Amino acid sequence: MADNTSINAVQVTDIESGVLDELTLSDELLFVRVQRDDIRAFEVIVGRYRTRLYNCIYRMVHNTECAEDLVQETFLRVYRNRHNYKAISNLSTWIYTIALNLARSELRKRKRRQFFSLNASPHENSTRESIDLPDTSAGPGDHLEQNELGRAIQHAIDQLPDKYKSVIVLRDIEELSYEQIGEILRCPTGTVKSRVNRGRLRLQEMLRQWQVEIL
Amino acid sequence: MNCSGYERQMSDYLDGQLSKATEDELRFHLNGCPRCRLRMQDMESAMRAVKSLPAVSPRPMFDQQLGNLLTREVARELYASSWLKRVSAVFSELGELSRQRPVQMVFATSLILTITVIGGFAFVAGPTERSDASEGPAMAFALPTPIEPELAPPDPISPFPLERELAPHMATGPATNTEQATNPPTPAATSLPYTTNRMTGDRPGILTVRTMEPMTHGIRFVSAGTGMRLDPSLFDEAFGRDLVAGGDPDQPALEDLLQTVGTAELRDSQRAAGTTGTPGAPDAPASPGPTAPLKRVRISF
Repeated sequence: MADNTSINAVQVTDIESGVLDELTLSDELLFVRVQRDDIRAFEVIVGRYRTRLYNCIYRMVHNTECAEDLVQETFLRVYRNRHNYKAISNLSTWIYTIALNLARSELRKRKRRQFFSLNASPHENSTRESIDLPDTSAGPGDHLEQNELGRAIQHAIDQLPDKYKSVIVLRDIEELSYEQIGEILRCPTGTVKSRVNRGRLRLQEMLRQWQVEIL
Repeated sequence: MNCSGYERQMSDYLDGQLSKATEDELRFHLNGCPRCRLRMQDMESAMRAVKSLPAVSPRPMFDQQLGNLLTREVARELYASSWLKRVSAVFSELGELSRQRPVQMVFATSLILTITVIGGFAFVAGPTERSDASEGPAMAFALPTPIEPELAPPDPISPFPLERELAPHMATGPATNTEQATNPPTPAATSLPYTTNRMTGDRPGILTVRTMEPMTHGIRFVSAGTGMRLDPSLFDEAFGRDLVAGGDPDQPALEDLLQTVGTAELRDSQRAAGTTGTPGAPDAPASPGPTAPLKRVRISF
């Protein structure tokens, strides 16, 4: 981490003069340009993170439009608060923190909406969902999974509590380190490992209930 | 170490991050503990399941939308920064001036403060004086107050002079009880000459404006002067509405609406005669009555 974030004066001069190619710069060095209002450098940052962030947020919120909105909002906030970023942490950690906060906020809103919904009691709904097989028909805002297995796995992720969902997505989909996940979620590494273990166990329990075989 | 201790090592084991010695110890435990072995298999299975999910990408329009948002954000920052620069430049100039000419700056500041304080006092005392003046007999006919949004008439459709054009004209005229006072408008205001008919003494604030050609056009104008409140019940359903009928070939005659206006005017004149008790008041000739040759009627405030 220290290697990435230590920016010496020579590098900054090179960045300003455009000697260093923006495509080969590290995220942190590139973000120095962004902090100097270089919109082109920010476009490179967007290009590096757009798919990763979208993949992560989509797996959490499981809705295409919502995921796109959240990713756009993440980039807007990153740009708006670019001067608040300190090079003492990874840029990716900072960006993921913003994105995860937005995604978790969206999940909390959904829970509130579900709780106050007059259509049906959420308790009954959740009980049914935890037992029944997932609905294999993809909604209009969903990506078409390649097979039924993919839909079942995504459905199992949807059923996980938020604290397990976050760590599972960050660890097994984004493949971030436990330390980085701890920084993003602001919890100790041991807690992250424990949540990963429990999240995986819950996930497997649901898949076993639905008789989904993982080869 | 007990089972929960080994369980904490399982994720590191699956990620291959355990040291050789710790890994051997965990394997040894897994061989003798079927529960932990099953949990390890479950974790590994779940991990492989999640990792097997395909990567998804945003839709093609995503980049365009994000580009638009970023462009807007950059423009917003530019505008905000330019505004801040202007404000800071003004303050810096003032600061520089105060350093160069402190005595003059103090004098100017005190002068501005004095003017502000005096102006504030005058503003506070102002409405009382105005209300006293409005009670005088010279204000028998007052200018209409600004139109309240909820009482504002719809978009004007009439080519006739409306209240905005008539008001100054009415204010300059003599406030007497004459039946008719001819005041031709300026050509810029309207091309239609008209006469005003004021009933200022008995019914202050109610004015009938008629054209020079009473058989073709007519405007009934009701003004709300200072301190007066209009009584909507006076005009019933015709209050605040544009009534177009008769002379306009594009509009069919709406006899019932014209009748409504006429009734209101008639009742108004009767009420004025009853309250004032002056049969000689100029109501009768001034009021057009239900049979008045109103072709185009507009009630506006």
